[in-house]
Amino acid sequence: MLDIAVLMAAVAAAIAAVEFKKLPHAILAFAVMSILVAAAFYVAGARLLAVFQLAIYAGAVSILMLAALHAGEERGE
Amino acid sequence: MGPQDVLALLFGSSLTIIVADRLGRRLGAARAAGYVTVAALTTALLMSSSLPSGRYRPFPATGIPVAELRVDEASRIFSLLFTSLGLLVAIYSLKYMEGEEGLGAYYLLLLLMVAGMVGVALSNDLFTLYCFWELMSVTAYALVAFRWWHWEPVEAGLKYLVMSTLGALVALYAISVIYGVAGTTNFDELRSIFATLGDEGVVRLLAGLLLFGFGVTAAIAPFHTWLPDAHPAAPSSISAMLSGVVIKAGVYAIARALLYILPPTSGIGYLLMYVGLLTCTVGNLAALRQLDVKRFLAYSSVANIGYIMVGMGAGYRAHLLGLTQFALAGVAGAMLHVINHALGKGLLFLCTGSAIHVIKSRAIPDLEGCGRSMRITGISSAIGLLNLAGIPPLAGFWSKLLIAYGLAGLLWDPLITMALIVFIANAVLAAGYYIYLLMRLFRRRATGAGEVSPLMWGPELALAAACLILTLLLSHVLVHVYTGASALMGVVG
Amino acid sequence: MSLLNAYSVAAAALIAVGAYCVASKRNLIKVVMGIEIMTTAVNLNFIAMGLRGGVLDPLASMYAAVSMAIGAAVAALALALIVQAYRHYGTLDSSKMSRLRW
Repeated sequence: MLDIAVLMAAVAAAIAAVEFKKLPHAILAFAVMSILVAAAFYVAGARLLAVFQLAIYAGAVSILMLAALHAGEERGE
Repeated sequence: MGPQDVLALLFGSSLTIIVADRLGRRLGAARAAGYVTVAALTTALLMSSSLPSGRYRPFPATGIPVAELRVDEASRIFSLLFTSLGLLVAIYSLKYMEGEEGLGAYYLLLLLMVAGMVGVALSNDLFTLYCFWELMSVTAYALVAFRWWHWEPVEAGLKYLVMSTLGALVALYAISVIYGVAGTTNFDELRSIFATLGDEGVVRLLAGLLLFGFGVTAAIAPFHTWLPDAHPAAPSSISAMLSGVVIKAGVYAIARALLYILPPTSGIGYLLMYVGLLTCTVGNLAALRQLDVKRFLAYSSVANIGYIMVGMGAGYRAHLLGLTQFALAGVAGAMLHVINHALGKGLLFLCTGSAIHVIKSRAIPDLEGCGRSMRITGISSAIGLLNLAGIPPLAGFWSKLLIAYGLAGLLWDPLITMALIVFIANAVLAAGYYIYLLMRLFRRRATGAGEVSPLMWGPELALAAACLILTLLLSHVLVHVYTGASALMGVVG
Repeated sequence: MSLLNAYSVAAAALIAVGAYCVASKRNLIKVVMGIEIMTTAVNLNFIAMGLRGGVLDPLASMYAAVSMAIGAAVAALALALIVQAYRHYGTLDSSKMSRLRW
């Protein structure tokens, strides 16, 4: 049951990430989705993969997106 | 010596390139990184020409299950093609890219791209193939956007990245389903598992996903739209690599997945054939309207991919019906056309690169007459154009003839009769516009443009000579191509 | 075959969401986000396929780990290109930068 709940939450977070109009909110939702997928990996028994998912997606990729957004805004002002 | 040594050489020397670049700059040898690349690719070419056939496990002691490499005639032909064109492009770049910023990164990416392509050709495992595939693609995106201070390469690179990554993800999804069905991703194990699976629906679904996934990078219609933007936006040496061999790596992946791994299933042969016909019709019609010479060549690459797909489709259909002779003819014709087009289109992009280098314009009207004033470039490009046009004594004619022969074996089927008619019409149309371009390049007045440096015309002349040698040694080449085709399809013929 | 489990259904749903994002959104960062959602979905699908009778095949998590690293590399390159495109066009809207015919 736990896995189904986590997966449904992940899909909901993904839809939120796509549909949020403001980019910082969308990126935050993307990070939440990554964390939830990491939880799903953990529930499935892939412990190491969950750590990777947290580090790479919730960490690096989200931060990269925020940095790209920031670089854009800085030049735009 | 096995394929793992070739790959280790390419990866190892790519590590030294940055050091060579820094050191060379300090010592006043700006070309040091280029020389390292040329040396590495020469060695890789020599090594891959004598690889013994077989299966190889690179790390036998660690017991990593999926990293398995294979050498057979098909992968040998493809890896030879990749390394040799990479070598010629590296030599050409020594002069062509002289004085550009970030040369160390350029040679590093070029070498890694060749390593990725050779890895695609040599892997014996779908996931290994995907890893090398992404190595090749990511370096190709970066190389398209290499001149990032202009708008065109950045936008074209982004477009290429988005479309090609989506394709790779579709292919990876298919690979994950294959893993779920079979529990392995090894080619030979998959082939025997799928042969006894007996579920046509799953095989059809997987074949479609793999075809369109890898097909985006191979530029099959309707997913070809990135190609006419990305290939002209890249530096000409990179355009030669992309049009010459990167899209051929896509063809190889499609052929390996559909012809070797998955069992022949009805419907897929028609799909391949008609996608190929659509691709070559779209490419040829769009090429007619181009005034930019690099866009023209890019669209004609799309058209040539179409011919190759038609040949593969004919081979697939004939294989399904048990007509081994025609199946081999179709696939061998496709492989011969891969060789022809890689040499011919690489040659033409290098020649246009030289002409653009001198004339500083990409418009065809501005290039009129430069065939006369730039002697060696002009003659080489004439040979390349005639080869791709398929003028009878040259090898370009024989590959199209073999594909047509593969189709002709199934002529009782009205759908295939129609395909043959469309194919021949396309070949004639393509011959027409290649000859027209040739006439424009050699029209009347000689411009004041002089010949480029020997480092630039040398590779052009080598490729033109390769086209002629291919024609002269056609009987030997055909033996290899037929062996390659039977290795690709896993049939004895 | 037990290919259909909660994980593979969720992976298919995430792929649909990601593909919709890439196809319909004009903002380039959203496009990259869609690609990353799809990469995550494929990784999830590998896990789904590796679950055999409730036990995870270690091969599947290895596949997913490697593909994760590749996905991150693609994202980094894409975002670098996006920043560069922003410098040229002053916008992240892909419909406003189509000087090439998309």
